[in-house]
Amino acid sequence: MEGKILRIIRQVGERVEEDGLLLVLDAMKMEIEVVAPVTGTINEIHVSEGQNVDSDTTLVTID
Amino acid sequence: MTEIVSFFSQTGFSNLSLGHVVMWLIGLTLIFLAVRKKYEPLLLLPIGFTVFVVNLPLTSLVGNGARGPGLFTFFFHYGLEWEILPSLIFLGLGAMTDFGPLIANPKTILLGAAAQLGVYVAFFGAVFFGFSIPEACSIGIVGGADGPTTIFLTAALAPHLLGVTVIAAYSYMALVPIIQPPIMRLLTTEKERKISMKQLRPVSATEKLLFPLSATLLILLMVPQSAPLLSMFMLGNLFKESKVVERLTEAARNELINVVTIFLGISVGSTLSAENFLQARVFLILSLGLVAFVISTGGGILLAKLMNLFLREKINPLIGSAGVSAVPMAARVSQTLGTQADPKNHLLMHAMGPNVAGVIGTVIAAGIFLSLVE
Repeated sequence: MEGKILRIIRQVGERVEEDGLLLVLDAMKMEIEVVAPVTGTINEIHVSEGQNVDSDTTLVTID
Repeated sequence: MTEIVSFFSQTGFSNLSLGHVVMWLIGLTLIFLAVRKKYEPLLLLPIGFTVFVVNLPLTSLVGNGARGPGLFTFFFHYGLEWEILPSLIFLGLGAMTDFGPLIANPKTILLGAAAQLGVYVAFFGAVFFGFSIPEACSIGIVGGADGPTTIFLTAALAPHLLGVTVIAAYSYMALVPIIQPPIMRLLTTEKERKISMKQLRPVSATEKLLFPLSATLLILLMVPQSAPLLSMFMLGNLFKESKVVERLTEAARNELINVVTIFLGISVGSTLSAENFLQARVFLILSLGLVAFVISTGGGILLAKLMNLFLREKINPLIGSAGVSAVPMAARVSQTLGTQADPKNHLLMHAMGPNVAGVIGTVIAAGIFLSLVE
């Protein structure tokens, strides 16, 4: 999904549960909450707030 | 004394009727909905004010006054009767539309077609209730939930119904997030709402460039009567996808569409005089329009479920309701209900396929109606 990163909720090193909120994306004037697909620790956040992203951009890496 | 009486008889006060006051209230309600509720403000605000002002007696903004046709009558005549305004809106819409999701998953075009079901049901309903065939066409098209197409068809076939059908179309479009979800929940199971769809494949620039050309060829050979809206729509899209006329693309989807929207609002609002609007049939038209919209929503969902019987990669039926052409409101509703069932399930882009197909579907339906009447 193409859009703009609105807010990043988590920080690197934080632990997230499956379905836990990671960041909020703005696509077609809609706030879309991106949640963790798995439980794990956030290894790296590849994007910053305000950045435009394409549909195949990696947003967050979770270990 | 006689001078005073004759002056008074030429003021608005002595020519006021109850109907005028009711129309003011309707105009003010539209302004209220636009300002406070943000319901389609770009159209409802100019329409609301125009309704208010044309129902001030003796203003001669519409019809033939002592000094010839009124100002708004010119807007209506050249803008709507000549089909100019809706066509220019479609040019702008084309320059905004990304057909990528439809090209990546072409079978969603069927959902866009199925969501026109209500259009035809409402058409037969309107005929049953004694409306003439051209009137029934204009009432039916409301079910496609596409404003400019409704304006285009009604101006051509039943201009006396223009105000009503357009208010109905834009109200139901604004109410998409309220009307659609209950129907969608009713017709789908929890398990179906959780169906996850594979990310759409990337679509190349060449495919996107060829789409407006091939779609124009195919559709206009089948339904030539849909040409005014469809050709402008596809020209706008060709501007966008060619990537060589950035200035024209931007002009079509920003300045031009904004200017046209102002005149469209005035022209539509000017048809809402007390005599035109305050009749028992209006309630029937609004109801038939709503029924059409509900059935269209259901039609898209049910076809998605039917297709799932045959498909190996299942479609989430929640994207079926996006086949009504309210872009992108209906796709947003699919997204919202999808994430409610499963927070990882993002349907927005999948729903854009049927959504843009729905716009084409409604334009084709209008073309079919036009050929039916001719």
